[in-house]
Amino acid sequence: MNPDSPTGDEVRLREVLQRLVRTASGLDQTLSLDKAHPGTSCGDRLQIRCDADRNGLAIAWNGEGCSLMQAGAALLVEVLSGKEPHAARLIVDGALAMASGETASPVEGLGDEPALVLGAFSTRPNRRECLLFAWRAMRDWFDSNPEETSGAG
Amino acid sequence: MSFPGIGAVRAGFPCLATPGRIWLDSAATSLKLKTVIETVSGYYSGWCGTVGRSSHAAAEEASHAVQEVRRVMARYLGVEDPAGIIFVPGTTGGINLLARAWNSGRIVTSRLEHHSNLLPWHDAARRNAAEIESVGLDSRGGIDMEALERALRRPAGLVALSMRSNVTGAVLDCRRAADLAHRAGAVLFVDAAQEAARGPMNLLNDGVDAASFSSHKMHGPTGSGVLWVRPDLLERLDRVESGGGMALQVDDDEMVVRIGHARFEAGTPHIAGILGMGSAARWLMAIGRETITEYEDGLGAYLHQELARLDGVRIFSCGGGILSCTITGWHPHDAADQLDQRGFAVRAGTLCAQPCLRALGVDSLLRASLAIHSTCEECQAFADAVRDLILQGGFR
Repeated sequence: MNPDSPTGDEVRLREVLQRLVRTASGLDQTLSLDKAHPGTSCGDRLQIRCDADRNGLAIAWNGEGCSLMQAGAALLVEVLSGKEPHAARLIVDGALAMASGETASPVEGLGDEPALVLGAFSTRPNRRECLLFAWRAMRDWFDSNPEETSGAG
Repeated sequence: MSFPGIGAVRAGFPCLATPGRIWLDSAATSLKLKTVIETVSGYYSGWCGTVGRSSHAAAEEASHAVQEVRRVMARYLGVEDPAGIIFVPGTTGGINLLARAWNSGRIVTSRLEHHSNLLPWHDAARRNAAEIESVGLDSRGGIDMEALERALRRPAGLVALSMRSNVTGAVLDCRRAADLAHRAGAVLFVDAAQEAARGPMNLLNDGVDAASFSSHKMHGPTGSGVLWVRPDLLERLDRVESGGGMALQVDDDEMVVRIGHARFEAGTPHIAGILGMGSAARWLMAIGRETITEYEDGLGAYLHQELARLDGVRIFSCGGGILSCTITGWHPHDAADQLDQRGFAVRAGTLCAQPCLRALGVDSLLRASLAIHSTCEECQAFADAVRDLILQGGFR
């Protein structure tokens, strides 16, 4: 019943996920309120607050969910905080495409560690939904705030 | 035929020959029998004629074989007359078909239901401008029969309930539900998805008027299943699809529709799936319902007992082959992932039953579900793995 010995990438992935889960979450009440995002098949809940100013994006999240949902949200905050909104939108679109297996090309501005995590779930469509929970919520935020990403870049 | 022994049963499932995994996800889908695989493969390896159309030998052979499966499934359901057996893609397909064909009356269902036995009835109620009412759960996680009785003091058209819950494992008292439904002028439909792998049923004797189940939960192929409707009731239903095989005469702008199950089976059916389902049903009938139920209930009781011993496990199921629980410190998805790495296939999440989980006061559950091939050793190994998770304290 012992699992197969994990590969080097799997060990690194596990370490990254564990680090992300330990990252404290907290909903910054000063940021604009976004809607809560319920998980359709898992019962998880996520709330994202996001604002953009001349210092770039400020993002915070809170929610109840599995470790992958938490890791995905923490990863989102790490990758996008301080980014200019238009560039952030491109990263989110690229990350979603990478995790869905639609592209294996590197996503500019994403970084190696996030790419490792997102790429690792390209063949796990069920658990990928947990990881991408916050990323999809972020894309919804961009969609509902088009003025934040238009005309920039 | 008496229980052939667990060794002989397990030998019937080719994938169990590969060590390293323990299948505790039978409520989601079941492992496939060798006889089923051979039947499906045999059909596709041969001349694979179609049914009810051409008259060459291969077509006659396939037509006869499908006809035989219709008889087998009638016996499997305890309805004898195969006229009410409609081949459908599965439980969900069957319920949707019935719900689309349903044309009148108040609908009564419960909060215990799988979404598949809830959402199609929401649609039917909307379409017919009919009222829909959901009764709650009792303290054991079954349907509150007192609440059902109260709900059926007023006239109703249809009562839709699960025979066995996919969350709590609670079993419906079909006879009592049927009496209550009939007294209110309603027909009783049962979602038999979780009951199908437990061997032949006795629906007519239980007073059931319609039922649906999937082949893939009874060790048969995916994509096939049965909707059974009492034949006299069939003719009261609206026709919902049109196509080849269901019309007697077709003119430029009208047709004469066939009666019985053919009215609901437009187009070429999933022949291989139907034949495979027949093989699975024959295999289960050879073992017998009493034997299967006794074995699985005994094993389920053992699993419940072993997990109930563990501090940190909260059990939401009441027995049978389904164990739903939470583990302190663990999100069910994380626990399922960890168990997967240890070789256990289990399910986690809302189990497609959000109203039920809300009624139980929980967002998400971990579910282990047994089958006729499950063993005491597997249950013990699962309990040991859960104990390890409790000691580990959570994903960190």
